[in-house]
Amino acid sequence: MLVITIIFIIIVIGSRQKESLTGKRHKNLSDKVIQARVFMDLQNIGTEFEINKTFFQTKLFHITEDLTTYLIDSKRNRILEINNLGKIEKIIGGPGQREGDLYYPLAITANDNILAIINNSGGEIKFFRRSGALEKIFSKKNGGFQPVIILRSHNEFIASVRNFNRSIEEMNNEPLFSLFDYDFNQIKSFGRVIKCSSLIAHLHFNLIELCISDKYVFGAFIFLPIIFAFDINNGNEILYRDLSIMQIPEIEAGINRQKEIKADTPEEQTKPNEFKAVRFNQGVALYKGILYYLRANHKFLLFDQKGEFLGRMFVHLNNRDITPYIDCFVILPSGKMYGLVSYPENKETFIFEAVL
Amino acid sequence: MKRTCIVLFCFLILSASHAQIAIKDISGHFISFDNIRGRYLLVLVFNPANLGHRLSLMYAEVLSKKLPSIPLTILGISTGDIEKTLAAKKLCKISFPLSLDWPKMFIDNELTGCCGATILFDQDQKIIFRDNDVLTPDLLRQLLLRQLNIDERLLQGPIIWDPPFLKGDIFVDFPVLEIADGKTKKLYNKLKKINLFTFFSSFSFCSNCKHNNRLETLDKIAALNYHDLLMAVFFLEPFTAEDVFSIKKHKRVKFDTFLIPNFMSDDNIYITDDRLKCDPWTIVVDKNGSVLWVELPGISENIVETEVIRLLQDYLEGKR
Repeated sequence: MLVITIIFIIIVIGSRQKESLTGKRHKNLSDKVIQARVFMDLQNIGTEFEINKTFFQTKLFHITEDLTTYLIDSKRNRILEINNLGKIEKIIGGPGQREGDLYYPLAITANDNILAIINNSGGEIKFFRRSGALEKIFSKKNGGFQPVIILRSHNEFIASVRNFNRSIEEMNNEPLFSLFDYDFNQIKSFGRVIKCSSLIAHLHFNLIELCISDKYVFGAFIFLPIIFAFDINNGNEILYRDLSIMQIPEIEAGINRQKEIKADTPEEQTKPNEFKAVRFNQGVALYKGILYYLRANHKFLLFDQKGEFLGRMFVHLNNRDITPYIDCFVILPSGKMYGLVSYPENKETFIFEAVL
Repeated sequence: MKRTCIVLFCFLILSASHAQIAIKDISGHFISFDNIRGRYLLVLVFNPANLGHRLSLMYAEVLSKKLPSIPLTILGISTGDIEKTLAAKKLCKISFPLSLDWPKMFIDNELTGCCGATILFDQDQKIIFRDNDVLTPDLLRQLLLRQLNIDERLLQGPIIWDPPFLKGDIFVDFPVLEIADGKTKKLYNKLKKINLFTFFSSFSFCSNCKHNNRLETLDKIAALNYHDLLMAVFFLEPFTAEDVFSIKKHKRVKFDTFLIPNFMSDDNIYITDDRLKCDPWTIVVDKNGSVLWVELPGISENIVETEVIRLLQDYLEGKR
């Protein structure tokens, strides 16, 4: 996986500057602005820390209900655990392949007890107790985990797995994501991947973001303007909506950009060693029946559970719209949103807190 | 064939008992694995034509010097021919053994060796790390510090990059290879009234990286059209002329471009953190080779641009 990542020259174009919004057909919907404050300034946490923002990494941090923050320190192959006062409590991992080591961690999530890390460029998932002890390792021979994971309960998790040794035809029939128990038994699978013509297309166009409610899993494709939802209990698809036909200007801007750069499609790839696409989604979360869809480099688009467009949301900090700079975000049951932001001009990185 | 041999070699040393294993290095000496029992072993399978691999080899050499008390043996296995391997050894100033020689036994599918490889063995000669690539210098350092339980604070030497020349020093008249004509020259023969030199110890092609940013800064300065100003960029070995030619072509470098011997100290090479070192490094030299200004670690691209332009204006517009 790592080698594949390195070999391929990835050109991901989602430039906010070049995307112009067309029309204001949803003008009647009032835009919502929420005010943020700096929850944690990552310049002052007492250790070197560097985020490596790659196109496929959006779960670079997680914050638990007790406001413990877990951050992937990509450059140093480790996880920082920071308490709610901004003090480093623990450092997990470090470069290596032994049990307590980490190597190219891609995504992270946590609950009350467990910290789950997609590690080794997707080659394995490592589960640590929040005390720091390694609990389990799941690895997938000839396959890889996409950088998305949800801990559903104390004995189940949701992940997206690809088998690289299969033919494209076989890969085209794989589930989009699956529910596993902690012995890595697949309990249920959900949906089907987008059919693609090549491995590189598979690895990119089937990248997804996920969030969960009691009954449903909601999600979005990263490089396609599609949202979906499944019933967790029976696996039925309850929502699959192509946003490109909804005349949402922010989505149309992305589609226009796709045309402008002659972006690749699942069916057709211009050059074998390049991937050219527009990033549509930068994360999803569900709160009080509303799906918060972060349109990459733009703003939040809000949808109801049937996929109807409700409006937009912006996050402001000291009168500045910081929404385009949000790398990833979490909404806690308390109704507070936490997000990781890097300012482009000085790379100043912080976590904000805002009340929905 | 060679790749297969690498795979065979890797598998051999990974899976079989190490006893009885000996390989021949490029000088014809046999290296017995029995003799390194009790030591960590770092094996780097490298392509001598690959700049990234050579930079890592150079780093591994420096790292081993910085860790004299650590029981670490480094072994390089080249995928190239003897000529290229010897050239890489010289460019990277390598003292650890290099080999083209490997036994033919088994195949391990997990280490193809096609893109190089990094393998670390513990003191019991059990593999504790492997990757189908040569690790970058920074990752190599991190890996060894962690896996060998080395407290970096105990290492000797400065942790901040030390400018090789300071204001007031006389810049050494290095023999340089001019990429445009492929001839080796003395730098002093080219000096003008004022000279803006930028040295690259490594290079990344990404558009937002500091190497590219520096080239853009130099473009801005060049656009000011100062007379009596020589702007030149230098690539330090282990760059080769081919590497530099490729960069010059792809990045459309407009300035005189040279390949220069690596005059950085081991301590400077050891530092991998961009914030603590200068790569690229820019200096200003007068017509006599006297250094007028040097870039110091941590200063921003804007400050480099501002300070250099101010100095050039002062110097070339007669204020000095």
